[in-house]
Amino acid sequence: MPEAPWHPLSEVKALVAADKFDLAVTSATKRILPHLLDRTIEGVRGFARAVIAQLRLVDFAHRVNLPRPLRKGFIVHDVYATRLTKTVTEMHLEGSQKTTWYVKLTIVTSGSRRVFVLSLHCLMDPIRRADGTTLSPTWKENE
Amino acid sequence: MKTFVCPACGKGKVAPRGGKGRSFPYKQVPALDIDDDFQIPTCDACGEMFIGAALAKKLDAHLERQYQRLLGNVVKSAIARIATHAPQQELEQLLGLSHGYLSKLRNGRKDPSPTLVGELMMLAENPRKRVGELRRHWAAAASGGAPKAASSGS
Repeated sequence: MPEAPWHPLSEVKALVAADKFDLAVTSATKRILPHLLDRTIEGVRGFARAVIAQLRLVDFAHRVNLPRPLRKGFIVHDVYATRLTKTVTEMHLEGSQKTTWYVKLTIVTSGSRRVFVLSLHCLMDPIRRADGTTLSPTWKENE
Repeated sequence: MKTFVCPACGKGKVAPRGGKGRSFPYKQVPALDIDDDFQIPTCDACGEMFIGAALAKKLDAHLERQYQRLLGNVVKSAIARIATHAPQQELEQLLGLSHGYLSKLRNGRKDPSPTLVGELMMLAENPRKRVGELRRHWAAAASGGAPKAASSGS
């Protein structure tokens, strides 16, 4: 049986739609801001909301289990590889040629539950999804 | 804000912190510095920072102030460099600006547009050559032809 997301996608989408999410700065903000039409932090958040809203279960690739110190269990990251819709690319990206994207996220409960988007960038390498299909970086697809 | 285990590394604790040497890309600037005392939730182990909805608004406002300050500084130095090769009034005419506009920018009474700042930066890189080119381009446009190359003696 193929692996499924640890964090229910419906909950991820609901939290992000309600603006209850944080973006990691290194791989989910600084890396993509220069490629957006709206080159502000709010612009990155708008793009993240749009990408996560269009995620589907077939986009799920795998989980990453991150051990916590003192054997206090794991933090589980869900990794998705998705092809952006034309609407999303045209609305947010400068140049719509990069359509295959990597998304890594988790949910943290600290008071309330929040999604943490840890990575959000275009695919750099082909990635095998849980359903057996492979998604490639856009530049490789065009070769 | 509560402290929590870093969701990126799983080792450190995330809490609001200031710091030196932090910068963000913003609009067309690759790296804008933010103030050392600006608090961002940061992991004490991996250094990853996290931006939620409220902080994003605050950070954008902070970056916008830094951005306007940068544009103001760049415009002042560019005007000063160009002024040694072209009178300010002529420069205003060449750029299609109203009379006295460059003085307002120099004195910080107006915020320049990024487009104008870009044009002034290009001119300031080699004011003598580029202001000359601009004069020739406008003259050629008026007569419907291509601009003539600068004569070597001018």
